[in-house]
Amino acid sequence: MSAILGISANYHDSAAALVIDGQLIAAMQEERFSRIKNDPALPLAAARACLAQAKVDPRALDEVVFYENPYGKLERVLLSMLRTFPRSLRQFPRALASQLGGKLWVLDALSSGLGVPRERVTHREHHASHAASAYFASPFERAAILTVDAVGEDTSTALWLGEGRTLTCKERIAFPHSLGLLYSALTAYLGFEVNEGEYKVMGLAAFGQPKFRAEFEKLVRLQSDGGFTLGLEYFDSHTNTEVGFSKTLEALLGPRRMPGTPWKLDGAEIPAADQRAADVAATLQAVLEDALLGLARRARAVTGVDALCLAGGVGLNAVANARLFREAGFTEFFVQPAAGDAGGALGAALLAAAEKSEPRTKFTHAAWGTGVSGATAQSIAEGLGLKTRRVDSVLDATAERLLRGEVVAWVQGRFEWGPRALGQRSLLSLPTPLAVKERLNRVIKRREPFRPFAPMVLTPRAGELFGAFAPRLATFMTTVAEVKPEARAKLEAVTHVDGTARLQTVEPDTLVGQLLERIGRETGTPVLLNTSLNGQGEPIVATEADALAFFLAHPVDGLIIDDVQIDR
Amino acid sequence: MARLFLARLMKPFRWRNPRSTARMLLDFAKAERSSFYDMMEAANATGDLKRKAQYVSHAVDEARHAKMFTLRALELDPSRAADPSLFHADFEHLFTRLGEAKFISFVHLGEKRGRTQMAMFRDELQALEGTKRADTRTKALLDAVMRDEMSHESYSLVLSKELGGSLVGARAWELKRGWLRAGALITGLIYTLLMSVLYLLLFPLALLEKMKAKGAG
Ligand SMILES: [Fe+2]
Ligand SMILES: [Fe+2]
Ligand SMILES: [Fe+2]
Repeated sequence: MSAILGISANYHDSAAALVIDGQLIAAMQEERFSRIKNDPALPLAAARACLAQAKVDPRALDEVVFYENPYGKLERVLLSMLRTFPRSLRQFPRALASQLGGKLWVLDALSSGLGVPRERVTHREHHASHAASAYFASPFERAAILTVDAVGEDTSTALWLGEGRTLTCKERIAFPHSLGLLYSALTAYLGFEVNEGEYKVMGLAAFGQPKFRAEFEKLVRLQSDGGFTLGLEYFDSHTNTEVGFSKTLEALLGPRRMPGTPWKLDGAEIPAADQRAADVAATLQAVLEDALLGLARRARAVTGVDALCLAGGVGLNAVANARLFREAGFTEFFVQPAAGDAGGALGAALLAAAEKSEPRTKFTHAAWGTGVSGATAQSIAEGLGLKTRRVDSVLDATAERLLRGEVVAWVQGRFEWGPRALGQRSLLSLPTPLAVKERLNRVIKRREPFRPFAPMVLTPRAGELFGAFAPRLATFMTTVAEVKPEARAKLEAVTHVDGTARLQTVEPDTLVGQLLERIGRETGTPVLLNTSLNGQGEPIVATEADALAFFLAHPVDGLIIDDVQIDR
Repeated sequence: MARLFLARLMKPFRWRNPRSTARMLLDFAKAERSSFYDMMEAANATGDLKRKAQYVSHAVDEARHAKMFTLRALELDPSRAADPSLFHADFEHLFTRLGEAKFISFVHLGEKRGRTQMAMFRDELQALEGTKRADTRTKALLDAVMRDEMSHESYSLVLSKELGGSLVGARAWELKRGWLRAGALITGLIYTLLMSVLYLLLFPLALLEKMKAKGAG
């Protein structure tokens, strides 16, 4: 038996993934355990949970693989400090401390934290881990892989060829020229939190027009061969922790938007500042898509293959993915749900397994977390003075409530890998009327009112309701599709302002699939609104206790954990 | 007790303007959020189902307090809405580090101190009623929160006794932590100073690197 644990940590969203004899056994983000959203801490709790899932002792691990080279990063940080001398004076002590005070010794920390001999702790390269997380999780035997993020050791973008069990890097673009950096800087400029607000920017883009093309040509120049360069004077990125924009950017695009400024995008009169922000977001989205399209065409020209994989934080941009699928000329397209840095843990482990010539894994669902038990949930709920009932049929009980128009918190099986709830830890409701969206946005999730909710649909029926989409992406909610005009009235709470939806397709032979079938039988539309089960600023719930804490703090109608129905 | 003493000393400077009150309430919110993390860790880590429920209920209270303090702070000083650290807080994994008995004793001490401080602030606000500096809504907020804190204080004491935890031991650990924190603060300051000097000494290297970059570009 060979057991390999992959680890990503220290920058954003740390995670662990366990691969045994080539097969993925468990993959989890640390945030689900610490309850700190995007927790970058060393993922010891997640690692232990992965090992517990397989009942493997840490001493039995053959290899613990860190997803990047901890020494390569120090070099880049120091170099960029020197290049920006003397402006980086204030960042210098902090950046050096963050490198020396832990990041550099991460391999030793893993060894002692997990109780694994130091010589078994290794590392791979950041973008290789990204590439592996997409390619080795895909079903393809030959594929081009694009890895696009803010920055790895010193690479921001890379093009790979995957063949069988090997990955070969064909081309790369070096930091600071980086699409991830561009997106982060504009996310901050628009008043959202970097590494968190990118989805909001994507949602906001639908309310605007790409009116700032000329200005953006100064920010990023796209080349005919797929490469690009940033106008560095507009950015201010001294270290990997300081992603930002400069005063020059404000001079170009107008003053930044202060975080926390309320939005008013619905209604007849849209404030000029809001419209301008939406137009900036729309331009950013359009430029990002153009850049990705250039990279994808280059990938096709260089590799000549028909299948494309995409990884890195930029791979989470579902709108861009849809355009890539339509226009890049590949017949097959795959994006793994944890496309961001958390996915590096999975990639590092799969890469090490491939090097050992282990058989490739199957990756057809995202339920790689820890499970729940109805009995445990019932005991805690009763201790909290809640009404509980074990039901004979979870499907009957849930369908009945949903059909009454209730919003139900649904907790089943092992929690999801990646940032999306895909039917294990979800808030569910019917996809109509529009009022349900208002209720969810304003009362339960307290999100900006312009953010859309996503539908889950039974795979065989998706074609009736939605336009064309990349099927392998829709399984993991990493793409969008047009909602057919005739279906919009039935799907009004899950249709975005631009007529699209970030859909998830669900196979009929799963529990959620059966629930959708049941709903379809009653309403004629096998669709549910599905949003992640978490409060504002919190990670998605993992355990029974997390779910009950959510239920106590948020006005949802009911909670179903395993086979237990919980009411107030 | 040093913190309470300090708080007492600062009394003449409190309640003078909404911005400083907001800053103080946001500090409260941070402490509440830290406590939420610790209680959720406890709820998920303990093997006892009855205590799981107690910890969940405690955690939910603390999350609510954090939210209430934050909302009030933003009413008093809306400019703080732009603060990126608004929802951040420390998480020290106290349950894992201390074990359940010591952890719950420690929780009891923290609750008691927190409540005493809130009671002091509340009395100060009570005395200001009817004056120009009155802040009736913050006073009402403290009243609402203190009711929960009282119950946290009492159940944690019962549990601490049940589990054989020692309040003296928890107190000793707390003192040690305070000492280490003060030490870290001073070391941090010295470090920053030394590193800034080092940075400036790097000037010739930076010049070389810039010339190299120019030559390459
Ligand atoms: Fe990355
Ligand atoms: Fe509290
Ligand atoms: Fe408390």
